[in-house]
Amino acid sequence: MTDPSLLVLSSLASGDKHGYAMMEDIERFAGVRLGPGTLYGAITRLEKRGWIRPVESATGRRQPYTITGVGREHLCDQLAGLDRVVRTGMRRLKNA
Amino acid sequence: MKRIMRFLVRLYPLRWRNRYGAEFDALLEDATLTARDTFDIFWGALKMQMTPWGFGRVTIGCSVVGILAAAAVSFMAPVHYESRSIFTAMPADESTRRVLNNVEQNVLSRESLTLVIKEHNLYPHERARLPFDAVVDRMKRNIHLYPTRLASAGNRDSFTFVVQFDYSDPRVAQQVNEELAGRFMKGNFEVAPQYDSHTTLRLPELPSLPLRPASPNRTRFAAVGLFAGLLTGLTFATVLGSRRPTTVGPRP
Repeated sequence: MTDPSLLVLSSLASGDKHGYAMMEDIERFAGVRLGPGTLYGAITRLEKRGWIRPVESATGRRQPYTITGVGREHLCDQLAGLDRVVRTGMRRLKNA
Repeated sequence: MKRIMRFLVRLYPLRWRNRYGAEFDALLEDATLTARDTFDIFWGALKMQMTPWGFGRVTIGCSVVGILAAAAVSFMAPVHYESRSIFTAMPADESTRRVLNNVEQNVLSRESLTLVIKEHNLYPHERARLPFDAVVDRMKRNIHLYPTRLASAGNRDSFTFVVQFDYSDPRVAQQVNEELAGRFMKGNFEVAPQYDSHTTLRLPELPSLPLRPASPNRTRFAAVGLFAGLLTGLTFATVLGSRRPTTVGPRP
């Protein structure tokens, strides 16, 4: 799974984070290193769709983001879909 | 490397930079960046510029750029004009063929072309930087002899062929073609008796003064540019589209 939007949403599901924290977190849990351009491309799209939003911060230029309710729903749908695909694939592999 | 990356950030749309510029800069400060990230930022900027355009506009934009680039190249390409003359040689038999081959060899010989080049001061730029032999070879490439049919002749008992000379100046192209035509006529007078032939060489169409350049063909350039731009645009728009997030399951 390398879809940057899904990775960003999954990262924010565990709490608010700024760009660098997301980058580190995603690398840790998915083993995927998102480049700065890819990460901010995803952030821009997700904010535009209302799936994430910036939150007040005291960390200066490091702007944290939070996942919105709609974003959480979307992430749930996506993960449920992926889960179905994974379980089907695993089951078929076992039966093969 | 961070310097280059900060420079590349300028490629993002101004509106985007106003909104995300500061935090993006903070990310560049914090992260350990690699050369790959330079391309990532460049690609991100490109996508950000193109995203509001959509598939159709990217394709049309690239096509327009293709046409403009092709037009620019066609205007930079050297112009050349073609002067043509048509000869008929009679009778159409083996002796005439031998005479014509011999005359052609004489007219297009290195000695003959050297005289023509000097007399008409041809290829001044090439002569300044290339050995004279190379200039003669260049002239040989600009002379074309090929058989043709002459509708007005209506005579099957003759060989009809074209002598064509290509040059950057239409008047010079015509003058040199006249010179070559004269050398063909004179050569025939000298060579025919050697083969005991009665070859008659006529010039029904005198060397023409070309009014339009034969190349570059700007319409063809524009068509190629359009096609290349269209292809690039379609590829580019498809790649941009395919790299947008994919979804599994129902959308909200």
